[in-house]
Amino acid sequence: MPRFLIAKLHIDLLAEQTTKKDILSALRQLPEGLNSLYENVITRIQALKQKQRDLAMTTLKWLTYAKEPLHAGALRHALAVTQGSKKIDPEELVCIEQLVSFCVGIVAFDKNSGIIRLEHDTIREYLESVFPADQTNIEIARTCLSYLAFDVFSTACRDLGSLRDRIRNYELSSYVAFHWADHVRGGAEQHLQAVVLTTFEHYGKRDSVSQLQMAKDPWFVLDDVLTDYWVKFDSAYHRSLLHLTSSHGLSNICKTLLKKYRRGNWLRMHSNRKRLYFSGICTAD
Amino acid sequence: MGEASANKLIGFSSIAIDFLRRKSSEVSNICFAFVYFSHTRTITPVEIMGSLLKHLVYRNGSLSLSKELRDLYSEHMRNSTRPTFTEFAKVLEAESREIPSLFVVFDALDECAQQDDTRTKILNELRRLPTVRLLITGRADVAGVMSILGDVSELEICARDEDIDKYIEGEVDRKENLINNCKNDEDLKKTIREIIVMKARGM
Repeated sequence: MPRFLIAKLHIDLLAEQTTKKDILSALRQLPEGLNSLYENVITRIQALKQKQRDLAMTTLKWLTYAKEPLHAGALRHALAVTQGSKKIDPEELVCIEQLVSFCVGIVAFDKNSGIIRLEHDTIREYLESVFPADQTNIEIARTCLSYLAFDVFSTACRDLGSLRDRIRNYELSSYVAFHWADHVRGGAEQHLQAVVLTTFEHYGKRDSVSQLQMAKDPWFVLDDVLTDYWVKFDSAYHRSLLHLTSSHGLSNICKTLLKKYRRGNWLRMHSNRKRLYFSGICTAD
Repeated sequence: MGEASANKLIGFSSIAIDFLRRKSSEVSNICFAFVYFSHTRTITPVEIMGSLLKHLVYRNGSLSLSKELRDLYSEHMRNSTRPTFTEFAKVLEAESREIPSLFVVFDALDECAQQDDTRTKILNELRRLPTVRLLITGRADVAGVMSILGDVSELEICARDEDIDKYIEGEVDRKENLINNCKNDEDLKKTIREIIVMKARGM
């Protein structure tokens, strides 16, 4: 039971009242139970202006279903992605303090770590009932795929320095490269098949995303041991679509691809790779 | 240990991490690592070991690679394979010998899924490291830490009515409309405090 949070949300409710009479009547009608307290918060968000409301709701969806703690910078980028855009418009980036205020008390921003999160786990449990998992994951996955569709990710970086710059400037890139498939896998996979295949159509895109993914992997961040690997990256890496989707455990999309390729073709195409290795670690489903 | 992953408004583990971060920048012979668990992402024992090792390798902001780690890396790179839990554990043990005090914080361990015996495996491994000091937060021994580690000291974090009341009083004094309306009306302020303390008790 998040006792401080309950107290805080109640005081926020009272603070919205104008006269003494309003306060007294609000005191008599305070929400009963945690769920109705959170429900009340959602109602207050829905009463905001449309743009503020949309930003708050999308924020809550991300914070409920994100696969790891989100950096505020990453979330700001996620909120600035529009369908079909080819880059981030810096003028579309929202101020984080404002965003927190749109979420009326249930979202916290930790300045030290830069992490933005829900105030308490019980909020996530409540929001899971407000935002259906499959539908919300589809929305998040679409944002991830739109982000990866940006022109900047159409080729891999040539050296560690430019990769670091890329990760710093595109604050959502690390998250997206690592987790896009987590939002696609399962119930959403069928709906997203076409956009996944289009997004990763070119090998430059696949290389670039694999590179970002790798850069986040603790196993690959040891700078000096990495350099050697990096040089080879450019010439030999080129992951196939099947390779990419199987390594992410997207079994339905893999099946489609396998039907499409004539067996001999893709085996010949990737004869220089340990082609079954990644398929082998593809999740059991 | 405490209620609901310790109260996030207080952020018990972040206080501990802040403290350790400051300490480790002042004193050179300690190292700290933390793992934050969340039920939204399943984390495997191998990943946890890898992550702890990464903290150790990057200690004091610079990279220190032992021969064991380099060898392990080269071998797996050559074969396109990854280290196993046991291999990580071995290197971790070797690395930790170099550090007089290794502090490890596990935040919300109860959120870590117990499938594949993740908690048991990790805690048993850490217990073997001679210099490790472990801080675990989570809901009242949901994680079964006691039975795995045996001899641990426990601190229950639980907000008391007095704490909540103090907090409410502070908040009321920060909201303009509440300040104005309570200015000449101590009764109103008292009522607000009483009702909200009651609400916060679990309604």
